[in-house]
Amino acid sequence: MATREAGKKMIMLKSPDGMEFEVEEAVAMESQTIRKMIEDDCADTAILIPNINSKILSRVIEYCNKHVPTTGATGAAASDTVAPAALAEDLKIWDAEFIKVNRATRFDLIQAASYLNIKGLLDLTSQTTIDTISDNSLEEIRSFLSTKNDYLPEEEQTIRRENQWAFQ
Amino acid sequence: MEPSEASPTVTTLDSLKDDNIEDILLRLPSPASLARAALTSRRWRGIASSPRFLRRFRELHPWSPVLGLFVTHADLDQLPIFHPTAAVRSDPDLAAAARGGDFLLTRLEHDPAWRLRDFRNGRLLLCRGESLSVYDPVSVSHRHVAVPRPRNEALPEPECISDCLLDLDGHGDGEGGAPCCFRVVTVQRERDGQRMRAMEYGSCAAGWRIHPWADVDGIGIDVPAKRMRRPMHATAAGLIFWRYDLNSSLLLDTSTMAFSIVPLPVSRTRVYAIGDTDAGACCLLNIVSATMLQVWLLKKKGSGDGLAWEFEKQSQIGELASLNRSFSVHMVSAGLAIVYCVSSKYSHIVIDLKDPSLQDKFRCHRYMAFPFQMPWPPTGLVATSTCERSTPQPYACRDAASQHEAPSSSRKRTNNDEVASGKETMEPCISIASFKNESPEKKFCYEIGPPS
Repeated sequence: MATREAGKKMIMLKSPDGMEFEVEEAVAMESQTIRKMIEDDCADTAILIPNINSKILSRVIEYCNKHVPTTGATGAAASDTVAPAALAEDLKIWDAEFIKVNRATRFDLIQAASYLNIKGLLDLTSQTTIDTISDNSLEEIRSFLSTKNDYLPEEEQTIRRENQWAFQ
Repeated sequence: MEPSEASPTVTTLDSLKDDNIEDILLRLPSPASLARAALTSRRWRGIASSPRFLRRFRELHPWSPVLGLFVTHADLDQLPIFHPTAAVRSDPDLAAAARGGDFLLTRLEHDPAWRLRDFRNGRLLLCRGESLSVYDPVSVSHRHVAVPRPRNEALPEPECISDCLLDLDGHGDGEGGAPCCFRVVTVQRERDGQRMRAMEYGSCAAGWRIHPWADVDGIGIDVPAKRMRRPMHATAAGLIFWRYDLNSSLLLDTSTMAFSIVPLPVSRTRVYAIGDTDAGACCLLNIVSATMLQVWLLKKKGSGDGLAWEFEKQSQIGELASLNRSFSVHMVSAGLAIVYCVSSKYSHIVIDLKDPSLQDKFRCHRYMAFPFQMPWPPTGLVATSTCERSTPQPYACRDAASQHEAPSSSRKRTNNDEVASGKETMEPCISIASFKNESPEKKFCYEIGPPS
């Protein structure tokens, strides 16, 4: 782990499978859920993040590290030298790489982003899911997402009859 | 959040919480894609049908896509003809809707006498003599609803001024209203033009309510062009407008059924259009200096209850549509203006008022054109059984005198009445037939189930 500058407050995040992650407070506070815990003084030593395994938690921290405002992350005012537009473009490319994961991991990330309330990550993961299904017919959506078709047969028939166009 | 522990190997879409699914569905690109994707499963349909979801989705996608224009060819004795927008060839969801819809109006009997009277939220109101039809080209289950006109007992027989199609709740955001519900308001005037009245049909209750005659001088209602046989109306935000004279419009507020007169913001103009913005507000458009499009919004006047047009914005649209010839604003609906251009290659230009930007252009010669938008909320999303229509029954229409004697079920009266030609114009409104014992509130359709 890289050496940290003095004076930076660190937070310990624990996953349910026993892994511990030491992160800067600013990075952890990308999550509104953790921010609230810190602000309410419920986070003295370590915060246990339930339901998010170490593999997913490390990806989430990776995301937050990248997205934390640059001045805080590097100590120097990096944003003074890099144009905001170029920075945003850089982030976009990074995001696109970051989200190249399998479907199950993406759904795990959606759950994690939702629980930890990280808007950017939720946007990214949800949007990517939509991008894989838009432009497709219902049958294609069903098979792409392998989502369960839970209609009763007669219900399915009615839905099909009344919304023929959606199935084409 | 147990699922990931219960099935530690693979997280699937089905193991996500409803909130996560909602977050995903909110990111669908358009109402057309929602209408399709939300039917994927029972669970998705349930999530997407909730009023909370629909409201959030609408905030992100405030307007429904245009599928095309319906153009009336009344003087050619033809049914309205559909001109698809160019986007149906590039947007797969719109393409599916256009392929699956019935834009040839095949459920109508073949009869060139059918006339397009109004349109609203993905539906058309057509009329042939005594028959009215509400036609939904996209949805199969509600495609064609015959609305029988009430039998007329007033003598001499009054003249029908307009047949208007409105949302159930009077505005276009669909909140709380089932998409299969609508209102038809028919406005009549006496042959001598001294009084007018409104008749109102609610789809869920499948019956007419006849409002009393009001002392409105109907003679002033202006017929815009000689070849048109009846006055043109415009509906917006539950209000119906007619051209009254060169300086004002006659207005019917369908929540109170009170007539009033509103001065135009620009006097002595014939070329203007009234309609609604994408947010459902009432707006008036006119063009000044050949290519400057002005937008006015109808707002409450200061302290009183009167209404007045307030200037909102203006923009240069000449370059937008490469229009260097004379053109006029023809219609505005759900934030889209249709500009009619006399002598250019394209006769009808569709402009989105928000930016403003060019949406599309059509070649329909000199005919009346009505924009057709995907209905909101999508019809597939709401359980149809709640508003299933039974066969509508015609109800006899009482004349004004007998209505006055009927037991009073007075409705709230507003001061709007006084705005109307300075007189009391409204009598207590009496419900007829099946509504007899119901309180005649605005949302009567919610309160009364279909006749069993």
